[in-house]
Order: sequence, then C-alpha cells, then structure tokens
Amino acid sequence: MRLSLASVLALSLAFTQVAAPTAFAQEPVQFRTVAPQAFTTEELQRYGLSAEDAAEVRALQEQGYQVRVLTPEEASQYSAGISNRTWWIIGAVVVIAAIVVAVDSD
Amino acid sequence: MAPRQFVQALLLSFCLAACATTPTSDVDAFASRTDGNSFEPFRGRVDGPSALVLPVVHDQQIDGAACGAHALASVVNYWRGAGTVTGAGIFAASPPANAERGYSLAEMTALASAQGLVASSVRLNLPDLIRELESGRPVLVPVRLPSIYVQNRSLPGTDARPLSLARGLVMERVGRVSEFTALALVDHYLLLVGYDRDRFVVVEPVMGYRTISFERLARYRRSFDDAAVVFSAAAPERSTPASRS
Repeated sequence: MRLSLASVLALSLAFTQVAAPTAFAQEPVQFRTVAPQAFTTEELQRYGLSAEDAAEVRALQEQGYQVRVLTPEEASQYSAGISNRTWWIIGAVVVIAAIVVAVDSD
Repeated sequence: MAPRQFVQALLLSFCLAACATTPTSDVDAFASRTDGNSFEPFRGRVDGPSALVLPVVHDQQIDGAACGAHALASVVNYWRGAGTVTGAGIFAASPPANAERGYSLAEMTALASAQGLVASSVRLNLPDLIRELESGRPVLVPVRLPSIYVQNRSLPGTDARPLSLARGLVMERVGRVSEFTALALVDHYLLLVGYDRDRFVVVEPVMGYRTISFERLARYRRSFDDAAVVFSAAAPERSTPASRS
C-alpha cells in the first residue's frame, strides 16, 4: 500500500506521541519540601485576620513589614477567569492558522 | 471506506486526540519533566534538591471562568486532604457573581473560609511570597497574561525537544506582541507552590505544574499591583502577640 505525504506526516506525528515522552523524560528530581504551618498569631495580624482592627496591622507595617492588606473594595474589584468567549477566540485563531497552513501546503 | 482512507482517518484521529495538552498533575510527574509546559522557552527546568516544591495536587480546569474554583480546590485539598473538594463542585455550587470576569479575590477568600481555611487578600512582594512558601503555604496570585500560554490544545509532537523549543520561541514572540499591544490578554489565577534560584513553580489550573521566572511573574502580576491570597488551616487559639526581635 502506497502512502501519501499526508499519511506519512500523520504517521510520524502519531509516532512522536508515543516516543517523545519516553525519549525526553529526565531523571526524577528530588525536591525540598516543608510541612505546612498554620498562620501564627503575628501572621494573622499582619494579614488583617485577627480580631484587632486595621490600626494594629498598620502598626506592624510601621515596624518594617511590607505586606498591605487589600481593602474590601479592592478585593471585590480584582477578579480573574477565562471566559468561554475567550476560549472560542483562542480556538478560532487556532482553526484559522490551521486552515492557512493547509492552504499554503496545497 | 477504502483501507487507505481508513488508515488516514485513524492516524488523523490519533493525532487530533494527541493535540490535547497533557497537564502535569502532581509533584512526582513534575519531577520527571520539570520543564514540560514551562512558561519559559529556555531554562524552564528546575534542578537540584535546593528547589522547594510543595506537594499540591492539580485540579484541572474544564470550564472557562472556573480557574479560581479549581485553584482553590487544589489549596483546600492540600490543607484538608486529597479529595476533600473538586473545582467542578465548587464552581457548580458557587459560580462567580460575574461569569465573564470570573471570581474576585473577595469571592475567593469567602469560598476558602466556607471550606474551613483562613484566607486573606493582601499585597505580597517577592520576599513575602518566598516566606509563605517556606512556611509550607501555597499562595494564589491573579495574573494578566497572553492567552497563548493557557491553551488546552497544542500541535501534536510538540513534547519532542526540537519542536518544544520551536513552540516555546513562537509562543514567546506571540506573547510579547500580545503584551505590547494589550491584545488577547486574559486574567487568570496561578497557585505558587515552589521556587528555586530565579523561578517559581506554579500549579496553573489548565496545565498543572509549570515553571515561570521571577521576572515574568512580576510582569504578569503588575496589573493587579502584586495582589495575592494567602491561606492557612484554621487559626490557632488567640494568644498574646509574640514580640519581634
């Protein structure tokens, strides 16, 4: 059976799916890790989580802490998430690119 | 269908199926390929035992605006045990008030509290982020980044070294243009779970464990003025504040 160029290309790409992960795997790296620690009382204050008011947090900042607690307004304003519309745009760009490549190769 | 067409269709479907990116879901998988899915085209690899990586399990994002829910699920499961919640469950029960913009930081902290964690929205600089990680606490950061970095599809074969380098270079160029023109940028959450000399290890809701340089992350955080969410298990009993030395 003679295979077309497209078939050969597809076959080679399919082969890379199987071969590449094995061929390019690295020796497993040993990482350092630490046990999770709950906030200390001092950290609770620093992050504005204690029962004390914001003045206490400010006092800690004046002692050299760089952390600033967001106001409720700021926390409500900042948001993040990829909308489904964004996914559609990304998908459309990929499809257009694939069509352009396919047309160019004809 | 002729045998030849059948073979072509079979191969094509195999390639298309393989186009789905493979997320790096846990620290063991990450240890075997630390530069897989990195944001960095070069030097994305984490080497040596000096790198700190917290064993967070990735909860994969499948819906558009749900990145916050999946990132939060990873945090909750880290603190309260594997399988405590799923991002899909959080998203179904408590979708963001604005489905287009996703979860706000205020919503994230409220959801974390509902899951039994202590959380706060703060601004953290680089040393503060590292201090949290050294205390064993993953940190959530909102970022604005080029959408090309959060695709859940890629060309087949791009895991192979030469192709992955080429892909990385193309993505770097496209990403730079995107940043320069402010086109095709998306707001997203990243969960910081580790670091080494000049890069962070993050759990990104779509593709799992990835590495990102300090410099690049700082750039992507700029739009949010270094905002972050810190988490902890339930607070200890309140006592007299410890004096600072």
